[in-house]
Amino acid sequence: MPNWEVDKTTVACDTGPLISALQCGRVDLLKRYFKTIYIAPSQVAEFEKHGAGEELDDLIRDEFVVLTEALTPDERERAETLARRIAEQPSSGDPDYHNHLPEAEAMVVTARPELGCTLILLDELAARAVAKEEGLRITGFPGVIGRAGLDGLLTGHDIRHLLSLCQQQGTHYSNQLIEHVTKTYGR
Amino acid sequence: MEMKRIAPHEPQAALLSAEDVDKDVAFLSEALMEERARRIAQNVLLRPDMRQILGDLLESGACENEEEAIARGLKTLSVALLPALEGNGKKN
Repeated sequence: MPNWEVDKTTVACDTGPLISALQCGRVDLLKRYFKTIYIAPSQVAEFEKHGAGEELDDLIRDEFVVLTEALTPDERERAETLARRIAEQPSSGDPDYHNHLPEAEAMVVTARPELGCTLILLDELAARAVAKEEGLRITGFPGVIGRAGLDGLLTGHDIRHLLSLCQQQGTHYSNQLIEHVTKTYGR
Repeated sequence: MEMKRIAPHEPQAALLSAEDVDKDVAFLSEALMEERARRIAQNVLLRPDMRQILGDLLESGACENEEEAIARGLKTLSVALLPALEGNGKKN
């Protein structure tokens, strides 16, 4: 495994990419590229709902994941507007904006200048479309896997195995996507 | 040890295409490169001797700004060392 270090960056994260990293047991890949991952308070309940509450607690204890302060009233209003826009996206499978508040809050957190987030980690298409409209730079768990492949940390076999593990646990990565990442980024 | 099963996040939601992932890798790489550039610039500019040289170059009018001075300095070094690098078979 290459022993050189990259200069890590700071990000905010929606629930999905962290769940994927936990599903395939490779949070270490996130730790290789990110100094700190900020999550919004509303996301904690989502991790618990997914059965990953203990894992999140461990990451918070390690100070790798940092729970941000509660949103201000203005930020809450902004998050609600963003959540409504996510719900209205053609690719959104859920028209109830309340269910998109965690992604919207992650976007609001990303935009806090004092946190210095350079990217938002987001895998869900409808939320990504809104984040893009907001001018945020986006990456996702398969993007991290791809970069790890380019860095020689993962072979094609590794990539297929990790994304398939997420897929087997219900994460919606298509076979075509898995093959593309495997062939393009695997070494 | 058996890995704990964790429920998927929004399993019914439309997720990424191949093009999306390619852009994601590019954005991540760009952000990491920016961090690297910040570190290098900071380490160079925090050195008093480097600041002095940069100041002298700007004052002389040889370069318009710090970025130009650093870029021209690197190009000059590269040209100066090229014969030696070629001799060692290290030219990229």
